[in-house]
Amino acid sequence: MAAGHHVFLVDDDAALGEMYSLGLEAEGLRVTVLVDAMDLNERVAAEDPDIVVLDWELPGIRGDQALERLRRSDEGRGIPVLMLSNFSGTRNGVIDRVFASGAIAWLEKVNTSPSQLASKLREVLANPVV
Amino acid sequence: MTPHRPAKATSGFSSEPHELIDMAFDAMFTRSFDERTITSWNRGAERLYGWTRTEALGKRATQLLCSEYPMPLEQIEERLKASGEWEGQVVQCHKSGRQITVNCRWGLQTDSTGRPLAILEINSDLSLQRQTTARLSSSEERFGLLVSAVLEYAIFMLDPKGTIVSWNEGAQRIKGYRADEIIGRHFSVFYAPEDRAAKKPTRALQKAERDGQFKGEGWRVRKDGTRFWASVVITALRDESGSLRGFAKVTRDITDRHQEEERLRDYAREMTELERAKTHFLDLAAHELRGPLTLIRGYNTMLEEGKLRPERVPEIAKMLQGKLEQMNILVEQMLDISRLESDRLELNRETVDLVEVVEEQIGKVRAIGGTNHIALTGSAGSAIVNADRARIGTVISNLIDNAIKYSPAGGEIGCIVGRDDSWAYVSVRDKGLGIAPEHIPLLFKRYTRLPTEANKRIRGTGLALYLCREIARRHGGELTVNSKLAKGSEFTLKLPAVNEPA
Repeated sequence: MAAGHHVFLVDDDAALGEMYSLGLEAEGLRVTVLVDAMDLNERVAAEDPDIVVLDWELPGIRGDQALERLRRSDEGRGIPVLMLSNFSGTRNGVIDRVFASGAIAWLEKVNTSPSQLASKLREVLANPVV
Repeated sequence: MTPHRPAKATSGFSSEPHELIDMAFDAMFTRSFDERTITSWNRGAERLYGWTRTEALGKRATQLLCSEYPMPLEQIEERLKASGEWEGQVVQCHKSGRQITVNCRWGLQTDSTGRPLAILEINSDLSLQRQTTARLSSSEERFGLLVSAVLEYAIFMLDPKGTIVSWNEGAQRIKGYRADEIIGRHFSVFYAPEDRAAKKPTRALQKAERDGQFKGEGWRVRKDGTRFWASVVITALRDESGSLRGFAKVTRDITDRHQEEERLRDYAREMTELERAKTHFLDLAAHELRGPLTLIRGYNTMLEEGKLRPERVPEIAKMLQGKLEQMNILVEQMLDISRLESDRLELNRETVDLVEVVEEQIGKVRAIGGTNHIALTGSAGSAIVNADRARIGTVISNLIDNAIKYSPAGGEIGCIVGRDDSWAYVSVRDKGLGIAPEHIPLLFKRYTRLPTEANKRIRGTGLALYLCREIARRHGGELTVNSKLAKGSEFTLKLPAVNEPA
């Protein structure tokens, strides 16, 4: 049990951010919700989360761009990242690109309940091989 | 008929012609080479010259037929000896004394040593051919008359340089010039200046000269300067030797057909665009529904798993109620669009006070919560219309929803209800993002969202304003907008007012 693990959840939809954070906290995880990824690198450097859950459509900087930027920073190079999105446009290239940048999974929000997200996070945190 | 090759026979032709030779239309007879006396004579010869076989046999052909050769007879006979054949025109006499012009094809018969024995003459009456030619030219004349009377087609001739040399009724009707005004001028006068500059007339003639024909469509100019869409065929005319004599040009005014085709093309373009917009809309609508669905599913799972603390439930239930309402609005909009497109949108009209409808909608928005301050900032006391209460409520709710979506959190939203002559109106005013002037025409287009950076994050499907305007129009009213970028927007719904009962 990864009790006390710190999760960064980046989602600009307040209602969804709140639901997932309620669900993850009920599973014993500590959650920080970020409404955009503009200062993700700085926040990661400052708060040193154990794992990042990134939406794809975000204001300012898209999830895949935020991931690439995170991978170029010292603090963010090794951190596990999961994509969680309802993005339903054309995926040609986008998903490949996030996996190439080292995303561990691409989860669809509509098919991922908070407890399913929690078990996926626990699975990743238990096997910290990126 | 090909000239007879000399037969390598030892005896002359029989004086009794073969049945087949007798059947021939042409005059065929033989004469001895040395004496030039006639040795056989067919029916064709009897017909052509009027002399019977009995009369002709043994006579000297040259004397009987008083032949006038195009060259001395000795020369002709020299050629016969050299090549075995001769062809030429000879003027001869009929038994009656009438002159006839005859086309002669002669062949030489020799013995086994090559010595000339006899000449076979096959002669045909050229006067007959001349009559045929005359008949032909009168038919050409009639054809010419026919062409000149054609009204639907401009049919005229050009010389090899493109100068107009003939003109018909149709040309006058289509192009506006009389024959005396246009014959002698160059045909490029029918082209628009830009086409003349692009050398289109020259290129059309070059193509016709090279390939035999030029076909094309394009704008042409009438004498009065108006334009018509022409279908043009230019055909190169060549004489027997193959040298270019000029061009025949047939022009038809197909402006009506062209315009119809343009209309169809525009329509097809519009439909393609609509189809594309609809596909895009389906993406947006699916995305719009997925957000609330995710919440309902997620919270439902948490309820099942007992992971939701009871004290949070009322707040979450209220939030979910709002999300369900949002989904319901979208589904209703889709149904309304479908009804509109199939013309099944029915209005249940009743006497409605717009003040009441606006207050009701403001109340609903406040009930859901949110940070914006919404108020009825001005009112005429009452504004009575004869309208479908639910649909007008939807229009006002959409306008308020838009004002909230496109305003900063906490931004003020004002509603005004009023009377203006015979109109009752509702204005919804925000201090939000505003709309760029170039985007105003797109605002009420169905399935179309404005292509702005902000719209990438603000939910929407491009249905609401189209629907609102259609509902307004079906009530005999209108929905208009007044907006300034970065200052805010004001949408005004106008409906025909009903005078209040005294």
